[in-house]
Amino acid sequence: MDIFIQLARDSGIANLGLGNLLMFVVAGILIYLAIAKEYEPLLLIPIGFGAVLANLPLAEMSSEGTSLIGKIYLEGIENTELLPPLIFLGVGVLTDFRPLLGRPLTFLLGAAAQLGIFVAALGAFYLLGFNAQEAASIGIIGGADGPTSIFLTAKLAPHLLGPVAVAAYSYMALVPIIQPPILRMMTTKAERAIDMPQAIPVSQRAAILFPLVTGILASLAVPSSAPLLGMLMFGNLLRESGVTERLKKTAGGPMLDIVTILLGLVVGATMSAEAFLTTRTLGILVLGAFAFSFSTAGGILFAKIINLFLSKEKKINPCIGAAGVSAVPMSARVVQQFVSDETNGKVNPLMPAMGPNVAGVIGSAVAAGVFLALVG
Amino acid sequence: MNPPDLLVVCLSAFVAVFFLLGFLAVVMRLLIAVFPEKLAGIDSATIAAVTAAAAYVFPGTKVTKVEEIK
Repeated sequence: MDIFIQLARDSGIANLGLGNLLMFVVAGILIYLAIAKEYEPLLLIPIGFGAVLANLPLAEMSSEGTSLIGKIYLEGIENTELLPPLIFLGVGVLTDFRPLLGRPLTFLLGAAAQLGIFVAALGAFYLLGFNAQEAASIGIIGGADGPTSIFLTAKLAPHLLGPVAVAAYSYMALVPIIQPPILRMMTTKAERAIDMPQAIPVSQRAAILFPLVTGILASLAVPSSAPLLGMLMFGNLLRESGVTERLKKTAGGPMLDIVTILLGLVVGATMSAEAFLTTRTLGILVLGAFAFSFSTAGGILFAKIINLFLSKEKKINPCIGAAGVSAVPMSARVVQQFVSDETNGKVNPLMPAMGPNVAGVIGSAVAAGVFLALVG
Repeated sequence: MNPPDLLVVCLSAFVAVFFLLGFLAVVMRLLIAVFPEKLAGIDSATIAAVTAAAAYVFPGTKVTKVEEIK
């Protein structure tokens, strides 16, 4: 009988706390959003299940533990920062930068749409009392780029990795809800109806030179952004070179899937009750929403400023500025849907919006690099 | 040395992002100018079809140029 009592005492059930149960609910919400609403399912399901594992008492399945997940976290994120750059390699393979190259002006929209990063970082630092490293990690949520958020937070404030990653991926999934009201508020009907001229045709040579030139220039200017931008551009060279079909398929397919599984699971496993259920998490989620909104507004506003200097036939549709947040390609799709609905299908700026969208990926990686250099 | 104020860090980072992406925009524009896309010409079957159609509607018409506007 004593053996059974001892077994019961040592079971997870006897050690289950209210915090663990609450985290099961949080994990359940993430998994529900992924399955029922199809919000970022490839990420929210691993993150949600990782959160479940992390909250199983005595199982030691959190990222802090010594289990398999703990080891992957240690070697994949904390010690080597291996996983986020590998995601960038796959993203580089899957990203067509031609819409950006065909409209080089849209590079600037990708820069302007990083505004939210800095607004949120300042809010976290001056209003909520986070230190500089934590504030920078929270601010990067405004870049709308999950791997960049994880990369920076793992280096500057690893204890905030769970809430920052959840905020980053949740708001990326909520782009269709967050952006349209801001687009409606900040643009006039006439602006939404601007039909942009054709992009400049991009030759294969220019498309091949782009990753080489960008990788070199950006990494020389901000060396701390090289792990992200270097891998992004390497992936893009695999895509554009046309002679590395096998590497391209692996980097953009099975390898990206494996890394996504591992990254999602270990990030989810950082969400133990004691690490996640704090007032600071609430602050991070609120600031994340502000970051996203300000980034969207920054892109739109800058597009309107550029229009002041352009002739009538060269004006850009300011709505595409909203796509400068780097949630690729969700943000560009949202802009396309919004403008098309507002103009009864007459204006369809999907390709113009892809320009700032992919520029935003570069912009947020550069911002992360600058933060690392200055507060790391 | 004291760490820089976060306001200064944020302003510097924003300027750095703008400057670098602006610079990349200029470089890419130059790249595209140096290596322009060579547009494929209109194939002879298309020219023959357009010529035949124009001659059918306006007998005696001579088609001198066929241009595709994308």
